[in-house]
Amino acid sequence: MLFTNIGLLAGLAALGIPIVIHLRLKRKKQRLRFSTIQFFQKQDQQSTKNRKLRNLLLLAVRLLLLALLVLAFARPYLPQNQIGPGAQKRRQVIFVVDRSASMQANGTDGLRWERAKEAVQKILSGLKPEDRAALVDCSTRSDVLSGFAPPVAINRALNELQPTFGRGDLGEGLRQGVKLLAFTDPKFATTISVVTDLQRNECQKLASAPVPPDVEVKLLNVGDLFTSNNAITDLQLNVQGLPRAQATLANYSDEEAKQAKVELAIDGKPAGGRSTDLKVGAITNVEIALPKLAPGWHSVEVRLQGKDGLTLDNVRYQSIFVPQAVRVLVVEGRKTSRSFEEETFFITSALDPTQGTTNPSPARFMVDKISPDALVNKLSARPDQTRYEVVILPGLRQIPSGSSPALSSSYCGRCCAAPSRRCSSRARAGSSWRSRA
Amino acid sequence: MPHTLNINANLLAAMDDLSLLARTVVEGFFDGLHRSPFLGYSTEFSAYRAYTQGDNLRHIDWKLWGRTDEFYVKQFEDDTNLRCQIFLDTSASMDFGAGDNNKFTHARVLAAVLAELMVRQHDAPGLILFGPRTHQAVPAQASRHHADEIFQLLTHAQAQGRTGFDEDLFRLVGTFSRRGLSVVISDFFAPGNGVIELLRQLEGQRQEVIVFHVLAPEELDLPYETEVIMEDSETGEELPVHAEAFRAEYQSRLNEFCKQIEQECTKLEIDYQRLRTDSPLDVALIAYLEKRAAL
Repeated sequence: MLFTNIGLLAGLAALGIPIVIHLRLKRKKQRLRFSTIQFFQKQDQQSTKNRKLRNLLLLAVRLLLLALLVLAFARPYLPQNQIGPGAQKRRQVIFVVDRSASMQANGTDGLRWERAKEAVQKILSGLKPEDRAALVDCSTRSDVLSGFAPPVAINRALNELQPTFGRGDLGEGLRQGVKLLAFTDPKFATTISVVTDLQRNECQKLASAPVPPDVEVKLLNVGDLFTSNNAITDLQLNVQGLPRAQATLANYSDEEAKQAKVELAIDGKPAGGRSTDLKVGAITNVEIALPKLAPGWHSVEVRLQGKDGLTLDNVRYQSIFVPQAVRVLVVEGRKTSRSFEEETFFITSALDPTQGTTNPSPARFMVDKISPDALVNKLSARPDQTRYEVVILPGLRQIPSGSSPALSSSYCGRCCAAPSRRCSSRARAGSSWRSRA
Repeated sequence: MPHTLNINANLLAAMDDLSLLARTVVEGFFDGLHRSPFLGYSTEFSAYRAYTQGDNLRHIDWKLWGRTDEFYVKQFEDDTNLRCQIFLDTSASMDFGAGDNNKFTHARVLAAVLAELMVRQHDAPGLILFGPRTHQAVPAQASRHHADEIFQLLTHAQAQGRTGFDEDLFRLVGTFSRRGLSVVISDFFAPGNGVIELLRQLEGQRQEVIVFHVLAPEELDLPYETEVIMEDSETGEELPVHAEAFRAEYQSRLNEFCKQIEQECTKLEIDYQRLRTDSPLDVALIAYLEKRAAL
């Protein structure tokens, strides 16, 4: 017989307590000098003997109860190969192996996956050739990798496995293992060994998995008691409005991460970062402002720095496309120092809301504003100079007469006339020029 | 009969002088009686006889010598008065009872009071102590100060050893040639059938016998709650007893024992009185006087 908590057997020392109480009560008998004891003899001697016997039995029962209590706390168990009639009983072991990403972590005693394999191989080596084993994978999906097979075959299958990059569900893995027992031979003594590093999110459904009463479930923990495991679980990039990167951080370990540093790199170059505290089990978002990016595709990398048992999930990559801004030429005929009195104020504000502010953000339109007099020169620019894709004319009456050919040749179909309060019916009739063009 | 008589031996036992105690008890007892039917046993002149060598000189009638020039010895009726033998048990079992309820103290006071009573009634009290060994402590005599010797002896008497109804006791009883009164004060806790044999022999010797069976309250009630180790005061033998559980059985056995002695006494026409040491002495005195009046 073996004990799970063999240290608790020290509690057997408490057996001395009822013995001491028994002896002390015995000594406390009052001695009394009496005139004669002739009336107490015979029958009372018999009753005294009975009482002594009863007291001894009571003491024995107390000792037995106390001993059983201590033994129960020590959690005794019989190894399968030492069970009397079961000594000849064949064994079958179902290994539910955790292949989640956390098994790639490097613990104090080496890689968790290696330790898991060693634990399984140790059990396999203890099996006899007539025994059998099965292998259940527990990663993104829980599947039976190998049905009941000789231990050697299971060992071979195990050596070909590697941990995945997903998340496992041990509860589902245990259910798959139990399913294997549906048509099993009752002559086998069954053990389900769950090999895992006991990550919090993987074990949540483990206790709810139904297990037949005659099946022994063993948990082989290959994780460390205290190992930091922080992760970036998500990365969102937003280039509209205020461009920023939003990283979701999680702490899966049982110790708090103080000042976890998150670093941002764009196109491989550091582009910012910040620090935050991560409490045990906490999930939080961290925002980092994106710098002004040139048009085109960019790679964004967010990395969590610091000591971590599993560095695999400490980095996230994302790509972002910054479009080329549309060049817009706006002709402003009204000369005024107040921008909101300009005729093109609303159009320019709509196209580029942050233009002219102290912290402008990238906009889909790049607006240039000119006076009607400069329109001809602007339109007759050399081909190597930047060309405008859209020209906005607020009032046709004020457009110089010489600019019409340039507009017709260069911006056919990409020129519009903004309605103006002073725009006459003739001028509005002139808009038919656009349709003709 | 007095109905306000209240002589508490426990209080009186605190007095060192046993003679004073006995006289106080007796006087108090008689003061409580209105017209006692027990008075009138005075010594009276009976006859003269010639002096012979060995007679006590005190008994010579000197007035008659003056008239006749002959020595004559007065013979009083006290020679024919009742001889009362008080048998007091001095075994160790008598030395039981807490404080004032001690059986031996109670028995000594009772013996002293009876002796004083006998002297006042011109009887001849004698004291026989029987315990590990038996001896006639004070022979029966009717002199005026004879009770003092009994008081003296009772004062120094000690309860020890085992009760022995031995040959000496029966031999002593065998010397009782005259009719008389015997008072036996004991707890009768003795092995064998010696008690009954003693009573039978006293009856055979023409003795009127009164038995005072003295018991302490602790013996009658067994007022202990837990398991105790009982040590026999005479033999030293020990026995663990759970008093509370065994109380009913014990009382049943004790009552059976007392009833057996009482039945034997009834068969022998002996007066039997069971005395609790926490009860007044008047019960015993009245029993004695009734017996004495019947003689």
